[in-house]
Amino acid sequence: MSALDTLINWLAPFLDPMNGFPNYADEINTIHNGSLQKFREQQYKLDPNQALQQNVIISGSFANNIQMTGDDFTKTAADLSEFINEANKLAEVSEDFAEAVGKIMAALEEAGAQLEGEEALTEITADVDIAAVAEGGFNPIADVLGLILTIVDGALLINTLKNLAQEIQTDIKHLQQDLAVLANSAVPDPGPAPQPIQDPRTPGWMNKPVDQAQLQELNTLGWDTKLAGGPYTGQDVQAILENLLRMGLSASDINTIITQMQAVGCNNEQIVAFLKGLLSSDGAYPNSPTPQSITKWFNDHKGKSLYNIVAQYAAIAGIQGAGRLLERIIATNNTGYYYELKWIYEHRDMVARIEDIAPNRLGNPSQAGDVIMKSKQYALGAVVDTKSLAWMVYDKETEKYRPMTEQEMLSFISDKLVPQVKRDESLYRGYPIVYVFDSSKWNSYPADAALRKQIQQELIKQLTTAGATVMTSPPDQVLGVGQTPQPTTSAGPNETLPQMLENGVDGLRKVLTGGSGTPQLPPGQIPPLELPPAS
Amino acid sequence: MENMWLRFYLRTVEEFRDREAIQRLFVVLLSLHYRLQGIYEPALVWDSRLLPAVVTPVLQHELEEYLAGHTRRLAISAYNVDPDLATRNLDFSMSFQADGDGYFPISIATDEYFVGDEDVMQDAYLRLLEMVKKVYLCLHPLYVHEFSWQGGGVDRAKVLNKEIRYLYGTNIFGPELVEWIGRERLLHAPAWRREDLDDGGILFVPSERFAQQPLITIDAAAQALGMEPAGDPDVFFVDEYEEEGEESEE
Repeated sequence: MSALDTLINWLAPFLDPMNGFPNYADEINTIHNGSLQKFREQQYKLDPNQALQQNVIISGSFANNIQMTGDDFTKTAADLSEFINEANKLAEVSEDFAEAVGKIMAALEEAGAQLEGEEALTEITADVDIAAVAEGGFNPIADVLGLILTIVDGALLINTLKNLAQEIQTDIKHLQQDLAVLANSAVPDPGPAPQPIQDPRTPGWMNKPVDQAQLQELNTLGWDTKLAGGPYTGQDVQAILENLLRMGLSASDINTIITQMQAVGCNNEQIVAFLKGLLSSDGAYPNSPTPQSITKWFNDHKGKSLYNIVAQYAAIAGIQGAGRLLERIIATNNTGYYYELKWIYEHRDMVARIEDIAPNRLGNPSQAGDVIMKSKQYALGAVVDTKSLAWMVYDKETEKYRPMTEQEMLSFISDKLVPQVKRDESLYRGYPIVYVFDSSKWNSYPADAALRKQIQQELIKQLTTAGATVMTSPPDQVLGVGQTPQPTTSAGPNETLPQMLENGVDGLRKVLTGGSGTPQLPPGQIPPLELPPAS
Repeated sequence: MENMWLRFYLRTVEEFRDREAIQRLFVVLLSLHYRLQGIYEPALVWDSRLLPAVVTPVLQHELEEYLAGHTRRLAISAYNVDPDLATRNLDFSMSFQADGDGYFPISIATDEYFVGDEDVMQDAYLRLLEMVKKVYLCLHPLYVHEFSWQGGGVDRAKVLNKEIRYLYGTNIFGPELVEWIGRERLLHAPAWRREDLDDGGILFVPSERFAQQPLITIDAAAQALGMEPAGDPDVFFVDEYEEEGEESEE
């Protein structure tokens, strides 16, 4: 086996894992950060779900470490190439040397046979017997010179190899460190995003007594048994009805809203989930919705609209924070919250939490991330903010909506959306931020096509600069990718790869030094200090 | 709720790109413990280390670019770094645009500060008013009002022509507008907060901001001033918004 083959064998345990990045090699072998950004953009455009649960291998500090590793890998690969070139030469030298030695030995044997018995030729030295050897048909001068030169070349080559090997050893040490950092930056057990507020907020009505007369009226109507079924027992329903009474709704109000939901086709499970949701606001507005806002909301929502909202809510009711979203819908009736509900419904299997709360900078509870996506192995769930923007302002003078002015739109972006992205980044350090825009509005407003394009470009530019990935939905489409900040995690080191690298270094050392630790020439040769004079 | 927007109509459009005016404003804000940053710099949140009240180098550079005319807009994030929570003011954003609509906005994230209990929200609002007054007294704009997405209609031309038809949730009338409306009328109209300002302007907050059941309604105050109430500033886009003939998505 040639020295080259041996080297390749020893390097394989270290080279083979790196073969896991073949698709990224071209990208990460450049110095520019933009290459990884471009890669993410391609990935997310092909598969928008990757933007919602961002693979840590291609984003964040893991990606940065891959790039750094890639740079070191490139250097190592280059040094190895050079090493292999030199090793090839050494192999050739070794072969030439072996051939030369073989020839000389053969010539010596022949010469020895011919010279046997002659006293003057009993001792053979390289210098003295060259002429005799030459008479055996071998060209001694050129060959000896060639041999000496070969020895010198060999020494130089081996010295070069030694230096290269030491460089490679350093490279591999760096790579080893890189890979340890890489392993350390992976998310070991990604859980839900941080939620600084520890104490849930209790609504004020919780401690109020139940109006027994109202309760009697409700019991007469039998809703506790009529609505029981599926995940909800009669007792569950009874408790919900009692709490609705505590909240301040009358038996008549409750009867009306239940009947209304039934009339539009909602099933019992959906109705009970919705009623329970009305009681579940433990967020920033614990005393909301009020009875007045609930009855008003039901007055304003009939037919298919009501059915869709109730059905969508019921489907997401099990997600932590769903009740907070329902509270926002009932209390504000804002389009944006309906879009948020619809989006969550469509992505419900990927959602971990809704409507987070966090302290503001005065220490009071405030609204934080709209939708927190689930994290999974090697993927961090994004903090998603949904927006349904028509870029319109109501004008009381004309009693119509007018388009926002350019300044109003640009100010909305720079003075509201960008600071919101930065706040989310600071609250949810290390997690990707994604802004999802209602595509029906994105593609239609403002009505002026040129202005619409300008605002779209400005939105994408400013939000991605701030660090958010920009999407529209439905269907999910990524329009721009933001940079993910550095996560801070503490996974244990990956033992296997560094160990293999260490073995590789040892192996290289053995190949070069024959186990002695000191570079050696082919056995039996002492390099001359100078070449013999030309004859 | 979407952000609260306060619009400051400066006296001249030249002031929007006036170094002295902007720096004067910066000095006032720094004295109020504000740290002024570029909008892409990291945000301060509740557990952030308190950084000094300065104009950051990034913002200084952006200011120079804006004053030199290399950029159209200057957007600023202001974080209050008062170590005393009892007196710390609200964080806000603002932007200057020389070729804009003739005002500069100060924007406060309502879902950050105006949430929860009524008294908490009102306390936050009153702190905000203190800052707004200081900014007013620094720049002496013609008019300041709280913008409403649900209506009211005023623009720079109307301000210059003193055609102020709507009363907003927050108003500061400069001396010229005070004279136009009538000082006595302003001083006697029902209001939750009213204050004579040093330059002859008047701060006028008609109704208890964020109260579920205000004692004084904006309607009553508007009527007393011969104005109409502007739309509810806490309402953003309602689901009734749709083009004529278009069915609701829901």
